[in-house]
Amino acid sequence: MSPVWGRAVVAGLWVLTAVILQVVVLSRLPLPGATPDLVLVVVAGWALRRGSVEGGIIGFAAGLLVGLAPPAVGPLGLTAVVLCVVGYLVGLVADDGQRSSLTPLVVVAVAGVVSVTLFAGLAVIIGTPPVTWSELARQFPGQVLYTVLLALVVLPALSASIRRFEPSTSRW
Amino acid sequence: MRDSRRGRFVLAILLLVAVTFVVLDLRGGGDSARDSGSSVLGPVERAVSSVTRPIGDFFGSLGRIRSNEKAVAELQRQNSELTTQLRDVDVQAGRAQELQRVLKVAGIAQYKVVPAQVIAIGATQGFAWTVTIDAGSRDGLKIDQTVINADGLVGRVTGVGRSSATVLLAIDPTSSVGARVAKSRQIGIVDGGGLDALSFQLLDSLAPLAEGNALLTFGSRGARPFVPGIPIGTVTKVKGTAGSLTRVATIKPFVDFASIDIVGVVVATPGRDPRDALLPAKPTPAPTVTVTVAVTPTPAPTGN
Repeated sequence: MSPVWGRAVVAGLWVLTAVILQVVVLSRLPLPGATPDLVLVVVAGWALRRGSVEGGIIGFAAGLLVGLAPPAVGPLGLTAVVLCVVGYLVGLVADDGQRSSLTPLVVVAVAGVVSVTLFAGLAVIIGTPPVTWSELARQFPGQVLYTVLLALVVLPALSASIRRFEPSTSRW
Repeated sequence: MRDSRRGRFVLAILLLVAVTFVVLDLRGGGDSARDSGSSVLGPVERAVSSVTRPIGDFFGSLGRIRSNEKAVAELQRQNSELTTQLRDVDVQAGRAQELQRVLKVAGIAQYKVVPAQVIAIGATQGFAWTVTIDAGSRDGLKIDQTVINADGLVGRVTGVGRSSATVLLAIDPTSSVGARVAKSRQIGIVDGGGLDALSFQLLDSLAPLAEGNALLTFGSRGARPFVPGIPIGTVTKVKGTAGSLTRVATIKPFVDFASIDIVGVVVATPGRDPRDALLPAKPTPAPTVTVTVAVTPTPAPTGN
């Protein structure tokens, strides 16, 4: 299998798994604050590893799937816009190259905040779903914490699963 | 900085497509896409849910261990409180009679209910309050049917796949339900407000409304989306005095929306096609609803 197709399949599996686990498992957990956003972590993790182009593409695909998986109601494509932008931006950080071992966690945490804010902003603009500021403020701390915790587990697994399908030129 | 021009191009294309979807959906074209998404992903969610449910239950019980200590103290406090309450049985008897009337309304109903289990909860939690249940069109579900559980009103069906359906919870900010005060028979509208609470606006601002009053669904034309007589919640706070322009009350719902699991979808109301849906034989009218009403006396006695 060529590296590109290999990556596409791996990315598809990750996204599908993340979306399903998101609505079936994570949303049910009795956690205070926000709901851990596994889909975001997968998108950001992929973008960190593979750069802005693939980040944008996987964000778009994941967002579309989130919009289609029941019980989604909001406008189809809204999450796709958000995750596409987030994936692209995170990818830009990765494109720059130099990084410490802490960079990924910081970037993913920022991505969590950006995605919630962006989603709320777009929702306010188009008027659906209704967003309340108290709700938004309540989301932030939990969002950052859960995103980082998820990233600690997901990012290494993600990297390991892509490694086989990366052209040898990309890293070391 | 490699790829930046190509990257921007790809980003622009994708965003254009996504925004197109948003616009199309806002104009009402996304339903068919979501329906097919529902029929493909619904069964997957069902399968995954059946595997992960025990695990989730385990973690859920872990969370509860710490609250058990609190529960013991709480129960002791309640115990002494109940002892004192036993003394004024007369007051209680009066309340019981009032509750009996409420109960009768629900009891006469004998709704046909299809039971279902919540298998997924919306990914945009906090902004939209929806759940997926594991019953669909093949179980007789249709859009705009009432969803209840042991405690009262849960919401209404907004999307139906073959084996799964989407339920818009009553606490969703876009949800509004016609409601009736159990005692005074005044009507008004209950609006969702996220997890915080429901709010209730009386249509007649002069009507009496007091803390502790119970609210029931008023019922929609043709019993869709809401059948009449389902308990919604109790009034916990009334803002504005009688006669002021707007009188809004805060409602504490009977249903604990943070932990809904088993629900029932009202597929038929009595007096219409008596299809034999899954309820046990005759004299158990919406069995659970009775429980609700029995719970109500717990809130502290009003005034007298």
